[in-house]
Amino acid sequence: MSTTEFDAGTPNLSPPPVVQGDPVQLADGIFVIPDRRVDLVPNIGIVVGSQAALVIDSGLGPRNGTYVMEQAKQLAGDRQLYLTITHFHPEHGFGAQAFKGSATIVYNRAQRDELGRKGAGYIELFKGLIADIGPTLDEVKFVDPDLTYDGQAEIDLGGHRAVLRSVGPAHSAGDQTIFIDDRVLFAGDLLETRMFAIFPYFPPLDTDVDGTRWLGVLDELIASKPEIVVPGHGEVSDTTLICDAREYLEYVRGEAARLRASGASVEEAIATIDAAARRRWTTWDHPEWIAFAARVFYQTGS
Amino acid sequence: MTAESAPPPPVVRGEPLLVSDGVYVIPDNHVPIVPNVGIVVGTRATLVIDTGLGQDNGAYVLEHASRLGSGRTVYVATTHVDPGHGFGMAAFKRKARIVFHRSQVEEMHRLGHGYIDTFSRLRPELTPMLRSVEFVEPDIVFCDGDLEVDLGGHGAVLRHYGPAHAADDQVVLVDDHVLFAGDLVLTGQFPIVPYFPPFEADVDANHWIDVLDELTSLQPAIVVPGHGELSDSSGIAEVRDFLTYVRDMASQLRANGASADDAGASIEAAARARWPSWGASLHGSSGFAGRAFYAASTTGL
Repeated sequence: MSTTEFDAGTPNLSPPPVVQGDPVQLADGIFVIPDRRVDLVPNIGIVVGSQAALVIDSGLGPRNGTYVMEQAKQLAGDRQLYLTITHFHPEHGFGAQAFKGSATIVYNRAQRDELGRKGAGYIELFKGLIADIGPTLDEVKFVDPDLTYDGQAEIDLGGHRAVLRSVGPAHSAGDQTIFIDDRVLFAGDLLETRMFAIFPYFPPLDTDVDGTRWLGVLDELIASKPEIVVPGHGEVSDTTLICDAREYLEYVRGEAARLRASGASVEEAIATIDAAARRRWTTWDHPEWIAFAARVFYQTGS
Repeated sequence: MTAESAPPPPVVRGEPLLVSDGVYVIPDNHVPIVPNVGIVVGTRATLVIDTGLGQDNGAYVLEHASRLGSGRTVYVATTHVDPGHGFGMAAFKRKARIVFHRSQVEEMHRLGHGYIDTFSRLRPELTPMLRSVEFVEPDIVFCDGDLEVDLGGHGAVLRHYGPAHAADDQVVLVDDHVLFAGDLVLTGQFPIVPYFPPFEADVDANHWIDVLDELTSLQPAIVVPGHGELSDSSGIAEVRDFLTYVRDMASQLRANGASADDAGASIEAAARARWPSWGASLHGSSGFAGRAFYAASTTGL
């Protein structure tokens, strides 16, 4: 979820959240439908092996889901289809219904449970925060996965191997990374390109974001040395993206802890960190998320 | 099985029997090496549990699964990668989605060919069938905890429990009340304790007892053993009784200074007297069980 509407009074200038365009090949058989930096559109992965194809994220709502499935079928022909979702958030997974019955839907248990706990609440949250999104959200029907795993699962697509790993709570409780052939990483919203990290801290609906564990997950991702990194939003990159994201989180963590120790109130700390981060990362979009990150780290950092 | 009459060939035969809503079993018909095969039919997909030995048995099972499931997606799992249970998997490749626990992938790579050699020695007439076995990689591997499969109206939980009977034991619990236990539970015969060092010594009989306690706590209404008649929790209890009997006797004999061979022979004789109706299966003998527990026990008990 990346949206400017959390900035009270900012008009919505972004185009509607529609997945568009052709899949772009990143490596042999590994495709991305780029987000074009449109709010509420994720980068969508399609990995085509000799036996089966794996779709990573569906887009928001059944129309986007259907578009993604059609793109996948064009690439995959009559191969079996799998769908997995990097995490349950609306623009990543709320189009899964288009795949039900046509693809084998695979979730990790934490994500399935989180969708069950929060899915309906996020529909209401988004309706309240985002203009003109209601009709799209009204079309959403939640579907259960066909396969639910704990920890880690692997899918052999024929010539390509996908490793699904449950790594949350970090950005969300059910975060999942997908590694293809040990070299291409689909990271979901654990990573964004040229964009402040999204901290979905919306009490009482959602307080699961865990900045400290998130940093630990980024360390693990850096150590796994992916050649190609596909973030949840923004341009495809490489390991430098993980380092950039880590640097920002570590900055907020350190500043929040320092300010808290020096006696600053949470609002004072947020104001200080927000101003400094906007000056330091001038090219990054969605600075409204800085305050969320600062609040989370302030509350947990001690 | 007796020395003078060769056992029948390990062919999966007969019609699937409905044992619970949507849950079928092709019974083993008391034929050695033939397992009880499960087929669970949901509205969206079908799950096969164990394949039988070799391509022909696997194809026979798949044919029934496809017919019962009216062509829906078929998943296939195995209770453990052992010749009778998982060596017909090649018939499913590309026609079904093969689901293994990671330990089963490792066991297939580590022991698959060795099993073929061992079984060829034990049953020379089966050598052609064994030699034709093709090992195939699964489509989906789960590594930790459970894998839940939603078949539409019926749910199956695949849970790794090894090492017990084998390093890669897995049970399948359907709709919380039908338990496919693999060779963790056999009925009407001595449990198979595959203790053949150095080729195979993964059996962990002490852990096996703990696993049986966990299976009992699942309170399954129907227990489908790896071999033998269907049962309920009492089938689990009988295996537990046997294992604890052998365990206690082995540690006592070892503490009294008996050798492993002597302990194995004493336990075998005592167990045969105590469970006179239990026949030995291919390599199920309480002597092996006694040796396994003897090796695992400490002299200082």
